[in-house]
Amino acid sequence: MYNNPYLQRAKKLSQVTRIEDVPALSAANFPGSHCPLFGALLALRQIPDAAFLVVGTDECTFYSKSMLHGFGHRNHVDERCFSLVLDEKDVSFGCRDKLSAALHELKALGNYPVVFVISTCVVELIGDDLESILAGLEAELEIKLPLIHTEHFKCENHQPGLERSLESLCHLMEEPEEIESMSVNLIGHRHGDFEASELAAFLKHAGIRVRLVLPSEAPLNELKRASEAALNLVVDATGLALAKRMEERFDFPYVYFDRFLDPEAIEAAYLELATLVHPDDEQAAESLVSEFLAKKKSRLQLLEAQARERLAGRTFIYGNTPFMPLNFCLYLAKLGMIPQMVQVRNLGPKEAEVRETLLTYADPYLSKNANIAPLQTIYDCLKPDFYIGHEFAARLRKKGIIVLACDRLGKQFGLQLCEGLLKLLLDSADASDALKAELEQVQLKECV
Amino acid sequence: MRKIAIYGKGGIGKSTTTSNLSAALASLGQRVLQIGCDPKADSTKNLMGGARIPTVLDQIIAKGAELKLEDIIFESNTSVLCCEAGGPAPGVGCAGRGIISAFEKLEELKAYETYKPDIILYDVLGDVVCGGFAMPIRGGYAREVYIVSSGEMMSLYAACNISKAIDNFKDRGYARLSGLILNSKNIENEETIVRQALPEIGTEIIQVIPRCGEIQTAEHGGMTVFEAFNEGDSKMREVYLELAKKILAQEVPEEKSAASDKPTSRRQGLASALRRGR
Repeated sequence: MYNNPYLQRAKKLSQVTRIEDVPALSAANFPGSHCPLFGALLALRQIPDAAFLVVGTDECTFYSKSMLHGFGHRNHVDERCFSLVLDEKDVSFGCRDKLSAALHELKALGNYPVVFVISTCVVELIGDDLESILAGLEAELEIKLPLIHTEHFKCENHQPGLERSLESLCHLMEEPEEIESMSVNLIGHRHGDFEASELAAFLKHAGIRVRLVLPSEAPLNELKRASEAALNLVVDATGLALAKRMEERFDFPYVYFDRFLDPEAIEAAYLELATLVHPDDEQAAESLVSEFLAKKKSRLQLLEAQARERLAGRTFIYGNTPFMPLNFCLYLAKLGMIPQMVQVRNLGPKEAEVRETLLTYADPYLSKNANIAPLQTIYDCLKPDFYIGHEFAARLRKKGIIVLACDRLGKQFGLQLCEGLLKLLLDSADASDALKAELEQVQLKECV
Repeated sequence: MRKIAIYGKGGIGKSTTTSNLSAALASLGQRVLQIGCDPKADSTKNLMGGARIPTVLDQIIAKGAELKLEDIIFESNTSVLCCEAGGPAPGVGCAGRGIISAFEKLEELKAYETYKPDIILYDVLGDVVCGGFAMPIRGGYAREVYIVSSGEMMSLYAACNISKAIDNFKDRGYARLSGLILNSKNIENEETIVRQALPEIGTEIIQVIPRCGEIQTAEHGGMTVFEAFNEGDSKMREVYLELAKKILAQEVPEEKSAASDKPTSRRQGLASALRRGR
């Protein structure tokens, strides 16, 4: 046991099964998290022909505009964000009349067939039934009014805002007139160019078209017809809520294909996708996938062999990446690396599945949320070879730690992702060895 | 599934009426879930032998993520499932917000899908004082509302107030005011007074509950009249049974769903194939 107050507060993976059991290293977080209002705007800002009405205090509404302004003027999104500021009277009497007046005013502008109504903490606290109010106004004004709740007192970060915003898009979708059988909607993609990914290449190989990407700049007339695809391809957990809602409403199936770092899970996800091409022929689906993956698998196996040799025994602390933390750590643990600490935001069902297996390799510390301030003293105790996530690289170099920011891998899917990560690690192993040699030299000089 | 909210002025006899009604419905073979929506958490006392059951909100604090349905839903001797939403102590917090949280927790734990009641009775506190206490009549919870009132002016004013609140939500097709239960206080010309107020309240009397010592006797024992008295020995058993039968015979308002009710089945083959794999 280390004589470090933060490590003494942290728990080991073997001691926790749920995110509620994972303590934060400190009450204050650096860099901290956003509220779900941020998540909502992040998801919706690209929709070119919708307006947003943020309902809440002056600060919430100002924050929204300020944030959108900071994203730039693409599609003039900052000019489409409207504020409905609630005052003391509105809190006592409810915001129904003011909201109605605001939406009538927006309707009179004539520009917006859809207004996303984003409710914030104060509205949620007073218990106004916005669903009911907006349902009535939708019928009266003949514009769509999807509602997104962003009460921060029920969550810790912006993720629920993202998820609920995507989910709210189901409200805009209509019953399909016909279904394009070899097509998918891509749900949840947020990290760069999908076209360059292995998954995109598979879709092309299989003759499957991507009809719609969400979130994206898809206009409303395309969103309405989202149900005309054959399948939802969910590439990030934030898209699952929308996929499940569409499944419920349209009997619309989905395949969950996240940034798995698990060749077996990847192959299984490809097989599910291949069902679209061969719904009644399991063998044909398997052939389609194995043909596509054959060379990639061999290449990966060679790389994994190399990685086992070069990376075994090297230690790391996991910060934040586009991946699933425990899934990530298990993949590296199988190659002989040692996760010393894992900072997690949540432990979804997929993560819970890998916990037991990971424990057969390692029992890392777990802490809640990437929080680099208390880590500064932890580095001196654990002395990891790598920090995987966002950190100040120059500062960590002085401690002999190489920082790996994996964001650029976020647009990769499939075995390509495993390959990309291993190449990054192998290069970083060289850098780590060089750094250690350099620091040794420095120490020697100081001794002399 | 019938979903019924019982409203009325504080102290008018809502919980007494609701718990006896629950027992009556259960004796007619209905699977009944009674949910107390009052921070005092005493709605189901007469069903649970005079004892207060742990509330949803208290259990959320005590058990957190470990909370299970069996921690908050209990079966009475009269086969009624009992649940109390709970709330903060008087003078602190926000009880309305508490009701919302309790309802959300019941949904999250899939209480209705698990127990599959035939009838849910929401026993709601005296006045619809804020958005939270209107929760049972909106959001797809109760479809029908019965108001318990006597001939006293204050209880009739409260009945009008509640009727107004129901009217606020009528555009969404939520709960409909289905009737008034006259819980007699033996005021002179009581029934006439109430009938005069009915046009303003906007409903009809579904049942007159006479004032009777049997109810107090049963309550002193922490029971409903269905436990306290045998069949044939109690006038009030027959009164509540009559009320229960009338409610069962009422026409049920259609459930209006926000989402499409006709899922597209054109992808059934693919959907089935994927579910097989999953």
